[in-house]
Amino acid sequence: MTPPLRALLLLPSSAADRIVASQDRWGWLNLRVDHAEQLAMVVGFSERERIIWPVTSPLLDAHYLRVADQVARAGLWYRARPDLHALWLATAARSAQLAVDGFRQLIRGGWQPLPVDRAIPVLTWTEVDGQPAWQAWWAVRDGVIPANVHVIDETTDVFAPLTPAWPVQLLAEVLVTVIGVGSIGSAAAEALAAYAVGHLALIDPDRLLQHNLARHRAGGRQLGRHKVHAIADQLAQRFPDLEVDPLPLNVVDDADVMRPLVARGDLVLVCADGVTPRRVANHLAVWAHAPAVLACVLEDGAVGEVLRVRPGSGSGCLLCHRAELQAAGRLDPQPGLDLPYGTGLQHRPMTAVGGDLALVGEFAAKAAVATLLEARGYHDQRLQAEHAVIGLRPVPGLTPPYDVTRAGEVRWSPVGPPRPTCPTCRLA
Amino acid sequence: MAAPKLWPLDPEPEVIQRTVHDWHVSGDGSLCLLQTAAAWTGAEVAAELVVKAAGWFLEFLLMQAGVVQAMTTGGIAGSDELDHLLDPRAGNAPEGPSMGAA
Repeated sequence: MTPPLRALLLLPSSAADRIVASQDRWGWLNLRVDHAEQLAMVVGFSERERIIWPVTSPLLDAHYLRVADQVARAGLWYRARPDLHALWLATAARSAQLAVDGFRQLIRGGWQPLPVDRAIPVLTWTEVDGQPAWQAWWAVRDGVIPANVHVIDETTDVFAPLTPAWPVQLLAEVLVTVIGVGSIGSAAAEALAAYAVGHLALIDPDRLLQHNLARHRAGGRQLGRHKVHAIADQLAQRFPDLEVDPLPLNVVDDADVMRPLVARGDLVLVCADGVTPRRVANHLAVWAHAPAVLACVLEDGAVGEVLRVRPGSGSGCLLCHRAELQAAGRLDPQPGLDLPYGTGLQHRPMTAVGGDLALVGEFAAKAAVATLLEARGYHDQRLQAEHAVIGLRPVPGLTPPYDVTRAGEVRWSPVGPPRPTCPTCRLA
Repeated sequence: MAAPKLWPLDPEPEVIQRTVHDWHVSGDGSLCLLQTAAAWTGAEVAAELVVKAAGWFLEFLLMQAGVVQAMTTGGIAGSDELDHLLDPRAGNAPEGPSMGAA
């Protein structure tokens, strides 16, 4: 049986360290295997014929192979001479194989006869520059073929490869409050976590229902749960070090809870799509002197909008921006977020497509993180202005600045100063 | 910011009247006094809504008496379109003890 080179063995670092620390030269491997995926994970090992040590790791508990059958003594490990690993490179580059006898001469002892009827995965380790190095092989009676091994470092977080190029440590201390965890907010929350923001508070009273599935980041297996809990669980699986506080609350009715939360956080990302929740969130942020980013789609998904409200920026808040539009004789598209009067319900069902909503959510997350970093001296994260309109499915007839004409177009505009009469800004 | 909510206690609209446009009562039993949430900018004062609520009370009585089939769209606090029904000299004002309380 000839395996493809893409066959991969996963080796948790705890198992690798314990094998290296042992004084033995060979042992058995217990594996969990997905044959269709050509993937196996080491879940136990022995030192020679002695007892099999199980690998205990949070990594195993979270991995999909945890439900795969465990195959005892399905593989072997050997301590090898450095020459064998040099041969791995040469052999893999030629898509060739080593003779079994040649392979055997380059391990440090403990050779076990290969099974007659099947191939067996083999891991070898040797020292390179004083450090253990691992290689994988696929052994059959007539030859040994290079395979791949991935040693999973269980001690580092997922963002380790980003440092020092990205300020992971700084963002790990940041708390962003996401108000509205619907189609935009769920994508925004995921993006914030991917930017390495360390703490999220998720605010939304709604549950995930079937009509949400076309747009929301949570899937059908989460149906019926509060959206904040569904997204919090998904984020926890992907970002184990992220701290998420899911709060199924209404920003308007539970403003007393929101007020201290907003004040405690570093930024408010408002992804709620009703007029009143957006205004209340804007008010709470301004009065708490917390920066806010407000994101929504307007005109039935024609354009996305991201508005930044920062204390001390010299620019006004959401209410000031809308008043500025009206004073200039332009239309305020925000009332279109709600249904027309007399239709029985207030909130207009979302009409935009899921990909566009996610785009706006991720754009808003970028604006939020850039705002946080700019305030901490990262001048490469300065945004062009305070207000952005994103063309999604542009329609004619919209007034500036919403009159973008191309999908994907982003138009930045400044926002005027706070109005002396603004009920939110004037007493803040 | 959020507009204040007013819940009528006496008279208390029936559940079946909630969310029905003709009665201007929201689903939670509060009065529907603004046509859009955006109409409340935060610069207003709640006292302005008390006048509207008083107008709603009069229209509620007219509805209960069957004098009108639907409340006016914008309310009668700033409109005279139902004044003729409320003028006793017109001779067609609805009867009822609550009229005196208005």
